Amino acid sequence: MAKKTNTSTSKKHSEPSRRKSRAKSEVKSISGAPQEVIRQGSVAEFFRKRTQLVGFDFGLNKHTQYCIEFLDNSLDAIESFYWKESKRHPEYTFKLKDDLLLQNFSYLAGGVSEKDLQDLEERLNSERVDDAGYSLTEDGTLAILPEEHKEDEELIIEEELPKTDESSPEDDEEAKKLRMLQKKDEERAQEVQNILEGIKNFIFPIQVLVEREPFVIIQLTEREAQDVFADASQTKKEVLEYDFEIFDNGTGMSPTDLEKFGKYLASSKSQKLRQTRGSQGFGSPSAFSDAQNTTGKPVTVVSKDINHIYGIASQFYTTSKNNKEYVVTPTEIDCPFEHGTYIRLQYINVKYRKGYIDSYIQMTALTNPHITIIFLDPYGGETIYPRRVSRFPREPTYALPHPSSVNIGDFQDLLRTSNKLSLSVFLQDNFVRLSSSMAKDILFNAEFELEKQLNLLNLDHGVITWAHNELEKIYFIRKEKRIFGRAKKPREKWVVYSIEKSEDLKQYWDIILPFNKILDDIKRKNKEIKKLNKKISTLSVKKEISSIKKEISTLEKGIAANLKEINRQKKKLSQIVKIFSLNADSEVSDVKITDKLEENVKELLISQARPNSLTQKQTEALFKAFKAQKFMKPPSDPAVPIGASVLETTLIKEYNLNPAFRTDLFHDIEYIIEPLTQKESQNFSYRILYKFLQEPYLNPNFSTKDLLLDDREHELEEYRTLFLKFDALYNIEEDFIYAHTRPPTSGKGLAFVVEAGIALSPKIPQAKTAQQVLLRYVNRTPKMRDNSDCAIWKGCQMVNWKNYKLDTFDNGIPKGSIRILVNVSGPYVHLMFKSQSKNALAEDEILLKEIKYCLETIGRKIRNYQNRKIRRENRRKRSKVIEKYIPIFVSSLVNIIKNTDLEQVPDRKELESQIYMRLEGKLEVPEEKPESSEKGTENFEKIKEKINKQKKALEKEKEPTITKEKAPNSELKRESSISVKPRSILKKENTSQSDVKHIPSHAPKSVEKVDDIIKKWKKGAEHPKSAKKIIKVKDSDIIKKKTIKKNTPKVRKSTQSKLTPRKAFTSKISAPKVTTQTKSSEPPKKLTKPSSKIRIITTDTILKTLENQNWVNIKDLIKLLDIKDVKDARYLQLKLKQLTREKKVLLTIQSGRTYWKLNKAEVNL
Amino acid sequence: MAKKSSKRVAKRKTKRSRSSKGKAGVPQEVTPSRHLKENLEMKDLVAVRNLLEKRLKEGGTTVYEIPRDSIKINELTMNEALKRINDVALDLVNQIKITGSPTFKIPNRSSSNIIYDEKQDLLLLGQKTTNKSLLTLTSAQDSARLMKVLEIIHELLRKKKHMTKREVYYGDVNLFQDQKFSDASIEDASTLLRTTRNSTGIVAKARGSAVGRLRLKDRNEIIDLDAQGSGAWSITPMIDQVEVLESDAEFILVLEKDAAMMRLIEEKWWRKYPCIALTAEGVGNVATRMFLKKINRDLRLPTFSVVDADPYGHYIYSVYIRGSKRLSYETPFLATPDMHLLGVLSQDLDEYGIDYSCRIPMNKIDMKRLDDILAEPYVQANKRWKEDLELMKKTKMKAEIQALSSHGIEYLTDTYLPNKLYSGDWI
Repeated sequence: MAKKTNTSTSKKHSEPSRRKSRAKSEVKSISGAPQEVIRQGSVAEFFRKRTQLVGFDFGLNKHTQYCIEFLDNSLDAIESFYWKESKRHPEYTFKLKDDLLLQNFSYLAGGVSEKDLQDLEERLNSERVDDAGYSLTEDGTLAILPEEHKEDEELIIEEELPKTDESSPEDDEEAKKLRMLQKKDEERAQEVQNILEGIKNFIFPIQVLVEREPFVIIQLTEREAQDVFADASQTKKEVLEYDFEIFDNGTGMSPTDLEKFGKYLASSKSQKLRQTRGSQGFGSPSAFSDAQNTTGKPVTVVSKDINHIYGIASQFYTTSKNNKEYVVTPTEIDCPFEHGTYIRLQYINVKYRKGYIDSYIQMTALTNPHITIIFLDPYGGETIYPRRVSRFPREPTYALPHPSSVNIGDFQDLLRTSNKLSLSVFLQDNFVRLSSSMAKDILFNAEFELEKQLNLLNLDHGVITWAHNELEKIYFIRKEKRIFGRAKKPREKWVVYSIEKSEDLKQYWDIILPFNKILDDIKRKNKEIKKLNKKISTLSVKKEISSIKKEISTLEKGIAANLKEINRQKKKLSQIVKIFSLNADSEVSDVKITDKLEENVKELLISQARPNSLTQKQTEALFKAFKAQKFMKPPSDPAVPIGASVLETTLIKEYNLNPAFRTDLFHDIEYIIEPLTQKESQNFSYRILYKFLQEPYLNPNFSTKDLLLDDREHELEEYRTLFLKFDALYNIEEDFIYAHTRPPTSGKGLAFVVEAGIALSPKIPQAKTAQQVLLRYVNRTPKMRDNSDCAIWKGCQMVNWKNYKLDTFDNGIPKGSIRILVNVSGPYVHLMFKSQSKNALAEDEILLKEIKYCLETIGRKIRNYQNRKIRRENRRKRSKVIEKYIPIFVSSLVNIIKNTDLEQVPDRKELESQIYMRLEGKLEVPEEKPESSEKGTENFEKIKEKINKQKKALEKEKEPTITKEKAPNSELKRESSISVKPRSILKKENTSQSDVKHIPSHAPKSVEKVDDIIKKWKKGAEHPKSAKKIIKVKDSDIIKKKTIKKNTPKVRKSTQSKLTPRKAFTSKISAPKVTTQTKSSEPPKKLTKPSSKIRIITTDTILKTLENQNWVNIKDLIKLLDIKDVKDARYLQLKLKQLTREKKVLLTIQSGRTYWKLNKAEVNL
Repeated sequence: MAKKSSKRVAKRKTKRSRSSKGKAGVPQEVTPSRHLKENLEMKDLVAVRNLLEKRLKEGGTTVYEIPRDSIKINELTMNEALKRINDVALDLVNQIKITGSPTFKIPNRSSSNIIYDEKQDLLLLGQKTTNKSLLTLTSAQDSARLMKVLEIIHELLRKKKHMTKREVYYGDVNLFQDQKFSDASIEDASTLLRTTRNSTGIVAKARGSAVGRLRLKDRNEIIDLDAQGSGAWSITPMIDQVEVLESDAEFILVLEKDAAMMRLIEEKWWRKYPCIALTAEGVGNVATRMFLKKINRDLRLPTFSVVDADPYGHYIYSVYIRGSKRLSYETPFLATPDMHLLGVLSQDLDEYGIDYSCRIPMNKIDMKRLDDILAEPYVQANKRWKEDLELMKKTKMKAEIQALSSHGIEYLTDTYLPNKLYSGDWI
């Protein structure tokens, strides 16, 4: 890029032609000093005049651009702070427990005070509500990533700042000015004080949270612009002056960094490729330029690094010479924050409207749920996006260029600047996926290429000329130790022999002639391959193409065989040459010949050459060999996706959706997302569940009689409504949310990951434009402009949404109450932006395909959901038809009864409402034949068996993997079995009453198991309907009973014990030892043999059923196990997956269907 | 074409018929094969008299024993019927209060639930029930209609009024939409109440008429069926209010057609042959059948029917003796199983020399109906009937009663009926 021009030559060349045009300037230049015609401009100068290139064109979008530049920087800063800090102190986190505070947080209402914090602590202590959140990782797995130590990770900012050529002299100038300004320091002190006050006021409401929450706060205020600056002729719109303030608590800037901040191309990210939001160092300088260009006011920056005691405050202008002019010199101040950056600038723009910065922030918040973002708009509104997840994403690693993405220019550049001693090391160090053996291969191939070009053959002990014509003279050159001149010790020197003996020559030609022929053969084959490749591009029939491809591959095999043959011949030659009689007579002394040969040989021996001193021929040969090599795909760790689960969580929380509890069959972990935003109902449900789960078991003195006396009707009602609410939440108004993350792929030699999430719900406002539907993200950064130019947009259009029962706009983007979120992450994207403003991705074939596949995966889920919805809709329509007849029916009925003297006339409305209730499924169906006493005992027997059986099964599963599985399962159950538990509790009471001995009051963990058992029992019951009915009748009673026991200490106890498994779960991941401990703490159990016929799905039953079967499909299994419920089938599927992982069961996939078989070898062990 | 086909038919007939030997060569002039008697008096009709005597000896009305697996239907008094409706209504209210889903349990009236009682030669309803719930899409509408009908019945019974089906339909046209739906609901209602439709107060439109040697008391008025002038007494749907006073008839004649009835009236036929003649103008409607049943039961007279010599005519006859499938539950109260089919039989066509021009070839629909009737178990059980139908199937010819008029207007009254009755030539 350096454009140092040779002034003298340029003068010579240009003077005659440009004399006329330059006449004036020549006249003006008085001295005879060399006249500069080509003047080198600076980047700063260029961009200062063209801020629109980076998105700062006058208009509403400029507001957004300011936000984009600084918000991205802030997010990057916070992340890098976190990563850095967590490396230093592995257990470091922002104190992420405080999201309770964020629930009702309001900046404008005064934020959070110390007292609030204390209150929260107290509340947490008293209620024992664990708010650690769900342990979601970025890619949906719980695998802990091994800590990698990369040397260059620490130097994120310090070492990578570019040193431009002109920086040193200008820095001097700057220093002078600095000194000048320092004199006036005292005068400026007041101004510093003012800045400080401003910040303090700005941060005050969130002061308490600064060290606890990762957050960014942006404030935009408007005021009347001075007429001079507001050029009204440009636009008829109202023009105002804006005050833009942003604060983040990320890694601050050290004083030295701060000096460079604001200059063009000064970036912490531009040097190496890495998945970051910004990358170039254009954003903030352009913003500063624009601010100054419009208002002429300086920029205020206050920043503090965590390693420094004082923060630095400064106020400055940036100049076209890419340096700063300070208004307030960098002054050390007592910062109100430990680390972070505060920036304030003023700019002039058209009047701000909603829908720009706020929507950008909204979109950003969706993909950055780990950071709280606060935006204060000019009209006194505040938008707060509280943190939604409790984990930061994994830190992306730096990406070395992949060989496939390197072009010759880059390659030469790398060679030129390399200070490595050998090419092999150079190759390995500069590229990813390049091993030492591969480097060796490359060098060997390069040498062969050179051999062809130089007509020399390297025979290891020397080099022989490679003749093609029998008239050519054959020379052999090798290193020999000789004593030269005055030296006493022998030194190595190239010695050239000419081979003239007829026998030797004959032997030589014997080898060389076929050798040449083989080479010609290779050439011919290569030509053919080229021809065939050309032909392929014209063909469209698949069969023909594949046949040609076959031909090519046979040719390639032939070439490979030829090359082997060549190597064999070469070795043979080298053997023969060794025997050649080489004596002093045949030594060539002609300097011309020897010099040339020597030179060529040196060029040939590329493996001994230094990377920074390669000849043109060598470079070309090396690059050719380098490109011809086949490489592994680039590693995927530089790309860090947001993660499907995180996407889903944020979508759900953003739109307040109600998903049915979701079981993700395609991942190892099932998770559910709490749809209830209110903590209260959450607590409520916990409490109920714990009660049902634990009390009969934990209190050996527990008796149902105690409970029967209670009649607190109002509490009963409370519980009933809650259950109705649950029912409504989980069954009726189910929204669709699904996110999918594709496995990493690579393009242009760099890794990238495509992921998408789709939310479908009537709660989401109808989109008016396609833009509102498709949210595009690149490295978690929303892209809002140039929609239709973008690869993401095109990828979305490529999907045939009609297949998934979705309506689309004319441009092929789905419409309606739907949001599609697509994120492309990875260092790859930095190469793919279409312009400096980074708004659109170029259409790469691989990228488009990935986007399409990803969306289609989700599409298939949508189809299922839509079908379900249609079915439900039909049901609803039907009920509408029925509704019409209810009043007619009831009025006739009432008329009949009215005219009989016998009965009291029932209330018409009461009857109607009763029927409506039933129609809506709110009314339970009671048992027709009330034989509850008999059945109760029967059930009791069954449960006993079940529990025993279950215990046995649980004991068998001793592998830690299972316990790992268990924990999330229990979490799942918390939701899924809500409707189940109250029913089953009756059984439990029965058991507890008469069979206390059988059920030991074991540790909290066992509670979870009992839960398991009950669930399974419910599933296994042969006649679930009848059973349900009895329980339903009794439901109210049970709840009544429960409510008595609801005194606070017990609640606490129950919550506590419920929480322990979850904690154990998290600890298990880090230290598997814990699991064994908890296992051993289990009390021993008496086992009675189960004799029940009821089907339950346990490991045993599955294995038993599989025992006598060959390959079985899941459908067959469902029949064999006599499963009648979808949930059970699903459970079976999970179980099978688990067994497959444990290798107890074998799995094959035939024609798209999965079949299972017992792994007898494994099970017998 | 017509000639050829008739030739073929005639040839076949020569082989089968008992007395048409030698006449086969002259098919155009069909002469009666039977020797017909003129001027027969009542005293000559020995066959009928014997039958009458036999019946009178049997004495008493037959008591129906309902088979075990069929549903018991009672004729109810109004109060009983009211009580049943009340029970149903109260049950529904209870259902609503407990489950919220009111459901009717109605005996199934589909053919699979219809039982043929061989012993008593009746069609009866089995014990299968259909549930009609308000909360299922298929039966919501039906349930509402049924409830409405029950309401109407309740009112009728309370006020001791009667209403025709049509009136019920007009009671709530929007709800019923079509009379066929209201009719179905009415039938449902009477099955639900396990009673006859007549007990519900909903009556069919009166369509039948009767004349002859009979005096009735309808409400408070005495009606002489002998003195109806040029018309006939139209049978009232409210049979429960009719009382038989006296009669010197010796048999009952049920005619399919009004036209035949006209013949009898004009001749004042019953004065020569004391009888009661009635017609339902087609298929016997409920009122006619009930009236027939009533006089048959009360007077114990031999009963004959004269229908067209086609499958439909035989079907009409079968309805009189077995009841229709739709109203099988009411069979015991409607059917007259001891009724005989006097004519016109297929064999009569030749025997009485009906001209070929009056015979009509049967179409596909007729053939299908014929097959259906032949397949019925009660037809298979009756040998003569079966034979006659099989003959019809062979000839593929049918004829109406009016075909007899080809011999002259008075042929039916003067020759055909007396000869039939005299010869005892019935099924």
